[in-house]
Amino acid sequence: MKLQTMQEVFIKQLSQFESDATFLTQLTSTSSLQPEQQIEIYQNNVRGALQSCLAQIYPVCCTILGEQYFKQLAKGYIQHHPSRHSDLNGYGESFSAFISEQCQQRTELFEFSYLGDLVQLEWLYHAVYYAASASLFDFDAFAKLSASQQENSVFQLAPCFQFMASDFPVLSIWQLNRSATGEQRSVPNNAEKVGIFRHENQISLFEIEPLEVDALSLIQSGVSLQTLVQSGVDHLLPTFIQKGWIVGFG
Amino acid sequence: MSVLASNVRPISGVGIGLRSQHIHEILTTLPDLDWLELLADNHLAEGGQSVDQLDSISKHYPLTLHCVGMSLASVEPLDLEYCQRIKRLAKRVNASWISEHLCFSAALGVYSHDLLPIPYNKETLAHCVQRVQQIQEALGDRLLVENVSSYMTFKNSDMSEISFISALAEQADCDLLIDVNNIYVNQLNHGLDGKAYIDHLPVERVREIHLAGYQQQENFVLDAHNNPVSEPVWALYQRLIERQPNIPTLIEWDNDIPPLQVLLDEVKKARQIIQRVKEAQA
Ligand SMILES: [Fe+2]
Repeated sequence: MKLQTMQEVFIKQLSQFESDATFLTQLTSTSSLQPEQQIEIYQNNVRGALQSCLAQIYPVCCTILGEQYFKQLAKGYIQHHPSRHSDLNGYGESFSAFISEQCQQRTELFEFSYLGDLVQLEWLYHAVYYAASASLFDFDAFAKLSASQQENSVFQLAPCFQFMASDFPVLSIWQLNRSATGEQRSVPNNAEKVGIFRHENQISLFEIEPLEVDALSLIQSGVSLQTLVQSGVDHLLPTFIQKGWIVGFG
Repeated sequence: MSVLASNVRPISGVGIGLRSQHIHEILTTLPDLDWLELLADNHLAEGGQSVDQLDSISKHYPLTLHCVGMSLASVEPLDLEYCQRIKRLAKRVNASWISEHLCFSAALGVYSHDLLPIPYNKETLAHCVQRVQQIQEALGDRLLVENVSSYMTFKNSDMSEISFISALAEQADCDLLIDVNNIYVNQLNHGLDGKAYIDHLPVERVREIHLAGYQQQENFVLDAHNNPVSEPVWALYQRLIERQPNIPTLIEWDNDIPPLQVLLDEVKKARQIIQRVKEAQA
């Protein structure tokens, strides 16, 4: 078997978690390990690394479900989602969609209908943690634009700022389980819209207003200032800039 | 040849692999460590809380970078963007050198995040020589290539690991990072002769030594980096140090990370061995 074929077949066995009969014939038994066991060790290593990676990104989900159950769910996810990122921090973005699906399919998860959103919140937290810091908005450069250039400008959100709108009190649930003080606090049952921002090394999560979500969604979709004015949300821009959520324009 | 930084600091003595759990304590107590090694892949993000801390750490200790993402032996095109990021990090923290493992980790766009073994034969050797040269060119510096633990043996391996790694170092003109625990893990798993391995190393190319602990499984040992260095590994280490007492040594601990003091005790042990060997040779 040529080196290239060997590597391709090897990696397939680590993403599909099945062994390849032809590959096994390329291996020799050692005194303690048969070919099947050799490939199994690597499959376990890969699965274990991805399971710990998910547990690290989604600690609150893991707390809510319990470590064993979380691990089992993670295993199911890993089975269908091999890592496509050289950087392990990029792994697991679609875990939220997977969890939402599981919450609809598994009876024991019916009561956790909020979990997909909670997992999404944890992903955004993770993204904010590793994102570049906010740079300062260049007011002078913006002022130098002509009126029509300003109207056609689109704004850039800070990489270390994220937001989401949920139908569930997702922030309250996150806070309750994150602190894990054991104290009984009641969770409101209203929908929550959440902003996440990192200033220097401090990450804060806070509720934001529905209108702010509308404005931020428009900005994120790349609409111009003119559209923001027409949508009646342009008055929010100075606050967004002052808070560091908007860092540039183009 | 080094373009990493004009003022890279010389590395000598015994250091530890820097792990996030210990950063605060190291910065506040500045323990007696000769140098620190960063897991480069953990520090490639633009943000993250570690970035500022790294700047402080690099003011107090000489640093080296240890990578897992180059997929050195991979037949896929080299990830030049990754090499550039490593190079930028090396400059930022004024790293004295960069090391990577003799293995592949990705194929067909899938990343294993593991150190996958390769058959040791002429085809692989020619490929690895060309890859190491390409990496050294991309980094603008020499690379230290590390021997890995393996749990697989290939029928078409017709070279021993020691002849393969020696030939690679010679032909690609690179340096070596010898992980003594990995040699011992391969001795236990595959019957490799650890002593002969040490005796045949091209010691003039060995610029760094790794020491770590393994974990006993039912019918094999796992290079888990979650235990103290075992006695047989200390013995092999001494054998290597007897050949060349001035090779910088690093204690690695990656899982079930203990209090810093446990690592400092391992450092002390390594220093005592170096001291003993030097006295015996004086
Ligand atoms: Fe190592």
